[in-house]
Amino acid sequence: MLKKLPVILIFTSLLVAGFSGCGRSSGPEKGQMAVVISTLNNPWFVVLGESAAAKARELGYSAVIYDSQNNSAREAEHFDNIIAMGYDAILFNPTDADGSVLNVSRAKEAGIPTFCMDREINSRDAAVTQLLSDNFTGCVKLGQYFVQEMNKQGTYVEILGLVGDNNTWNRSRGFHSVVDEFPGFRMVAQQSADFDRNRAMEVMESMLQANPDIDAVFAGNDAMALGAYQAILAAGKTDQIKVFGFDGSDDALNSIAAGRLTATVMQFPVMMAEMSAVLADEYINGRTDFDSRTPVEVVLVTSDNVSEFLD
Amino acid sequence: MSKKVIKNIAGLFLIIAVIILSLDIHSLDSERRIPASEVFDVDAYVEDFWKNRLPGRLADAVDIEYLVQLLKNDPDEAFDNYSNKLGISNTHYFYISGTGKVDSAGEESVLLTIGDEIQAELETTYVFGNAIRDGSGLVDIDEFLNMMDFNMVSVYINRKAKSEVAEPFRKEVGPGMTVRFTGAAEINRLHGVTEPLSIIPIRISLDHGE
Repeated sequence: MLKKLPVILIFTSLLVAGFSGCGRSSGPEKGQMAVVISTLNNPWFVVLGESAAAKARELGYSAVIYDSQNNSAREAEHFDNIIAMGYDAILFNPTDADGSVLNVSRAKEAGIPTFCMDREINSRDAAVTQLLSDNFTGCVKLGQYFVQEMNKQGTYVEILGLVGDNNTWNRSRGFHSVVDEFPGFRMVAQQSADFDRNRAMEVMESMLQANPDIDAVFAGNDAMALGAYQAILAAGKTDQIKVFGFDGSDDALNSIAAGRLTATVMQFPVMMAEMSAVLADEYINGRTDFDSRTPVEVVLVTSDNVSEFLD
Repeated sequence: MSKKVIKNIAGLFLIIAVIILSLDIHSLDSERRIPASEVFDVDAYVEDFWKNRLPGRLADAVDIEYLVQLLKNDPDEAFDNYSNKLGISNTHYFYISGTGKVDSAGEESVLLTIGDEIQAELETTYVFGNAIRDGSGLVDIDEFLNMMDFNMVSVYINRKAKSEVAEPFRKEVGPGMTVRFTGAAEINRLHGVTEPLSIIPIRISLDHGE
């Protein structure tokens, strides 16, 4: 059985690659990079994963995308396989800020460097570096716009992302660091919808039943903002309630341009993913001086500047 | 109502009471699992920053009239020599000092004219963002276990700047007064300087002109 283990692992890896729709490139390769993504159910993360893999291939590596399906146990299995197969680097989008630290530490002990993308792990030194959207600062900007749009008063609800993800709380804390300074605001409900559009619609429906007179919704990502908007539309309250999101997805940008969403914050997943692959390549080639984290600027998008971001 | 029915209802209430009492209900916010926030003493960190580290940095603030000229004539030199920035970003932070005359003092900001033509706005309500933290060049992201702790430093610094500088200033200031200020400003490298330049005040002295 032990003799067959490598074969089984290789087969498992190729199977995963097949499921995720991505395979290895052909031709001479400098090595192999694993791209581990929290979920490929969300188009935003598909872009992140595919951009990282494409850049790794462009740099001369083979690349396989692993989908953790927002499941930390599945993520741990992927790391088992990656360590057994002796990958050269891992481009990693974690499922859990605390729970994923152990996986990254195991890879480090096995001599495989990890580069976190977009989502943070709570460790200074397990990963070589972490490229992270500056979520907090983005939501400070969004919070200031929210205050101005609402004339410093109103009742609102907040729809949170995954409660185990640091991004959820960095966005929420950034927003509240501004809005809570203005006593005219009252948050009447706060509930998680796991960054999921359908779930956000259900959450918003129940929030509207309990709080029919709210003035605004702050959602932790665009998918949830759009789900909330659907519920608001069904309730006939689009003139009454302003919706604020985060991500800068195409759907959200079009929605802002059409006057449905009020604002979002643009992240740059392609740049983060490509930069992670470049940094991994530099590490493999001997670079050692990396900051523990590299925040990536995000940009507030409103009706005033949305045209700059539309194709 | 029979005794059996009463007993069943009482039993049901008992079961519900046991379930409710056995539930551990707490807010979503308490679910955030960021252990560093429990051990990082942001109050002490910011107190030390404000009292011991910041004053020396303020002495190096660039004169606003010189900076505005430089931004027009040689923006690369201005950004490269007088600003700090964090990570991958076009937003740069400057520490700026100057003296100006108050044109107007509103609820949210105080408008100054410096020299003949430069206009700047000292913020008194919207004291947010990372201009003080990142403009100082004194707070290293590698010191922190996670972004939340790093960001809380900005929140606490801003609260201090607002309560100890901006709000007392707003209560005292009026049109025609002369203001000597040192503060932090953010300027986007792609967009360049826009007037009036928005500045978060860190040190203020007022001449009432009497």
